[in-house]
Amino acid sequence: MDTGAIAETVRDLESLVASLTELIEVQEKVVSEQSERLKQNEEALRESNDRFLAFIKEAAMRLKNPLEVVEENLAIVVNDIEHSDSEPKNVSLQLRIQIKNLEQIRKNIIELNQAIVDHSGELSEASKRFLTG
Amino acid sequence: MEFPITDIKDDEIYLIMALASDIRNENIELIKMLLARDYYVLVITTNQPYDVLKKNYEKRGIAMEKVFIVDTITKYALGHDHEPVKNCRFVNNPADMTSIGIAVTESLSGLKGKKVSLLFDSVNSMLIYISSQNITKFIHFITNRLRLLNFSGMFLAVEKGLDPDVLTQLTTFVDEVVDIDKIPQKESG
Repeated sequence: MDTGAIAETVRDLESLVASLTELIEVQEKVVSEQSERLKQNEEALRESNDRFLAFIKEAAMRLKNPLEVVEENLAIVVNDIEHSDSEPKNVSLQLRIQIKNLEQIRKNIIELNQAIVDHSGELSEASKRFLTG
Repeated sequence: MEFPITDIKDDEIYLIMALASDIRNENIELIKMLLARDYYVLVITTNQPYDVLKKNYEKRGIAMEKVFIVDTITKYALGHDHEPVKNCRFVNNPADMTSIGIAVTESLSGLKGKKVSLLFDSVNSMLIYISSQNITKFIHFITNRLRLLNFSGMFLAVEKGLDPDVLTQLTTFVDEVVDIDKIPQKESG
């Protein structure tokens, strides 16, 4: 092989190395972007999970427990009525309070649903209206 | 049945945990215990209206002279004012923490220099009207007022009605958590 041919081969090899280096850089960039996207997705998933858990906990405190409060209050009113232990105006007031409590519990359900709807892109408009209407 | 805690300290703040079905009775037993110890008692009621509380107290032999009440529910349920009562302040709405805060602050200031305990009935019924985040802030505010004035305080709550994280936060505001259910009850004669 003459010197000219060797020099050409070296140039070809250098060009090949340059192309491969460029390809590696591109691949590194793609991997880095994919990794970043994956990290963002994981973060979004974690946030969504945290929101969901917060919703469940707040829902339990502001729905399940209040319903128990109303149940107990109604049981007391019934007991008072059965034992003729309460004036009609007090019975009426206690029942009015339970109506207000139930109204508020319904509002709490809508408020909590709204929080979920606001962070969910996958619900249809009809479902959103049903949950928050 | 008498109130099962005997070593209540004068200016300490307690979170009292009870069953939902026992809350009304615990309110009465706590008032009786506090009055027997010469306390003036300020009751913040978010569930039982003043008229019903007064009737229940009187039926159980509790004199109202040293009992003061901030009633957050009557006016809201009636939709109009209750006739004025000497020892009770009626707040418009149980969700109006500012008005409740003002009523409590004014009531406590009026009792300055006396031996006072505040009874909050209850954390759970207030959760119907305000979020756990806001109720935590509100209880922090009230406990701060009590500590500034060296007053005692008792916050009634249903033991299974609170999220553990909220309960942990509330315990940082009080001196002691008392679980009524876990204390052997003593029958009185």
